[in-house]
Amino acid sequence: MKPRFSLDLARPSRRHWLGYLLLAPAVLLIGLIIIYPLIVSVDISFQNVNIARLDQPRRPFTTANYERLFASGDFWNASWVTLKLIVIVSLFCFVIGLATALLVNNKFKGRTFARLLVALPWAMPEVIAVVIFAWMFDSSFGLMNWVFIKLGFIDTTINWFSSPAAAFAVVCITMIWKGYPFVSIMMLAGLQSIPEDFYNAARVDGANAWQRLVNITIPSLMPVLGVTLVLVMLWVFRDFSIIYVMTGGGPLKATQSLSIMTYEQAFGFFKMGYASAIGVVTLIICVIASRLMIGRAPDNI
Amino acid sequence: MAGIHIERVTKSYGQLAVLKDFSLEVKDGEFVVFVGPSGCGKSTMLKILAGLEEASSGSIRIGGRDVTDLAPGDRDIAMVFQNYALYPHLTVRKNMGFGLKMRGTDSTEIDRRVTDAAKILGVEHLLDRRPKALSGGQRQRVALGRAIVREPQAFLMDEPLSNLDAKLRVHTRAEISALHKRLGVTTIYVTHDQIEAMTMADRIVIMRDGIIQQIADPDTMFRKPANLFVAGFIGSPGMNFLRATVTSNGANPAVRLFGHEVPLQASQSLAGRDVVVGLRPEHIVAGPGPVTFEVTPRLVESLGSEKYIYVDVPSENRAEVARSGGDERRTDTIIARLINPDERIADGRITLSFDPARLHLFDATTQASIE
Repeated sequence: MKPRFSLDLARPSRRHWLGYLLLAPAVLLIGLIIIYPLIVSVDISFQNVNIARLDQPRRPFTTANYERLFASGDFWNASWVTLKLIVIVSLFCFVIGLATALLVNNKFKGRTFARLLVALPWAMPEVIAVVIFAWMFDSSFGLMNWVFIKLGFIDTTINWFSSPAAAFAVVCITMIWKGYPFVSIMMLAGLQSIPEDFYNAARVDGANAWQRLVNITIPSLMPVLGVTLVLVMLWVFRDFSIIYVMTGGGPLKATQSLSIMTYEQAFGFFKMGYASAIGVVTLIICVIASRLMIGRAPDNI
Repeated sequence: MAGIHIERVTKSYGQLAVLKDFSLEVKDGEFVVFVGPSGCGKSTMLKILAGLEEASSGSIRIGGRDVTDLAPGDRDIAMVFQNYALYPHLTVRKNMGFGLKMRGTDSTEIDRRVTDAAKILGVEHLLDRRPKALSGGQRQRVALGRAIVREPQAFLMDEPLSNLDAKLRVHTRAEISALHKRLGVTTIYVTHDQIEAMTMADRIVIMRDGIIQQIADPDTMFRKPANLFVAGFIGSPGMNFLRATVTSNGANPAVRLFGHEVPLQASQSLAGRDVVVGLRPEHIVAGPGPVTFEVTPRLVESLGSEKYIYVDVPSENRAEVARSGGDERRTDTIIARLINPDERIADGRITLSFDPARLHLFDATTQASIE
């Protein structure tokens, strides 16, 4: 028989070719929209570039961007703001997420509806959520001032967005509201994978509800908990729209996180080399933080 | 250690009654096995005993103390689960000591008891491993260990052997029996496997559809089954059933089986009644005997030491008996279990016989045994 050209992927020796073939489009796309810009921004961060253009000749290599960055008070302020945000938002997201997950994991009437309600903030577009919260915390017409006055916590209206502490609190509240459903959904999935017999065995052993939570539920959720924590932290780290729409980083840079600062330097002051340096530092912190957290997870399960 | 007193316990989910009027007296130190096909209510009864489910009515006393409405942890019982329910995040040592820790037992005392239990079960070398690193049989022992460190008044076991392979199951079965003899703690054991029930139990409680069919020791259960269901469930292969009408020829009543008039040792009053005649496969022997018949086997299965001979039943003897569980047997064949048969099957025909004294009689409508 005359040999003719055909790509016989069914042969055992070529079975893995199909896999590579199917992976190729995704790999190309990732290379194009993630890896390439990453390399470019690392490259730019070592040059004194104002407005980056690909057709411009390369500027001489310099570490001036990084020197300026580490000497700048703004950078340390933004790092501190980001750290505060991560700790506060992650903590509350976890407490509220776990609590709501435990709640809707019970059998009761209207459970499906309750689960929907819990997940609702997650489905809402960030900008819309922020606009609603901005209205609620508005100093003259806002709901929150009215509620707090009625409840007797304050006697005069608070101007939420001109006090640094208040603005930071409002940003935190909005982020927690937007972020806890994700934790809740992940925890619910984790809770449902815990065998009922674990609880039965513990009940026969005389463990009360609190002991069951501490000794069985939480440890059984640890693997999910670790991954979720990393994802939430990365989300807080890189989230831009909530802070930008709500406060724009102000007042007095009280809510200026690293991502806001990057944006401001790049598209506000057009110092793209400097902004890239901030981006690269952010990236390194993120990689180290997530390695530390995920690296610990596998020996838990 | 204590006796268990179950009085008229029922359980229903809405319209569905899964337990109907369950009463049982378990003596101190007794090993009682609940057996029955799936869905017969045996696991539900065990869960009610453990306090994991609420009884719809009735009362339970353990060691003379009314525990009907007590939390599982306050009943002083220990339970072994089918999938062992070992906590993956704790070591074997901590798994075994979990119940004691929850009760606030002193840590040196926990350590002593865990070590003792581990010695009894031969798992001392595994104490610092996680359950994930254990084999199925080892996990099973750890699950038993977790129950015995508590030194409870009673053990409840929910099909603890069903996740083991066949060989290990036989081995562990003997171990649990030995453990029970050693500790002497009242044990309630749930299984769907009649062999486990026969080999381990002091007394068997056989259930179907939430109703107790018979409570007896294994030998009585085998020799004098209370009804067709028990007769078919206990024994492997199950009892053969043949339909017949009792006739009265002269002094003794008789039935017609395989074309022979077989006299019965029963009262004359049976005459004219429809009965189901039960005959155990082991009670059919090769060669001539009191009632001899020659048949052409449909199939012969040889297990080496014994042979199963499948024999067609004449249409007049075919019994419509709903069998339980996985034992789906055709009603048009019976099985003869021949131990070390020396009888050769010549020309495809074999001579079999049985002793009429070995026959069991059941009422065809009520399915109850006729004495």
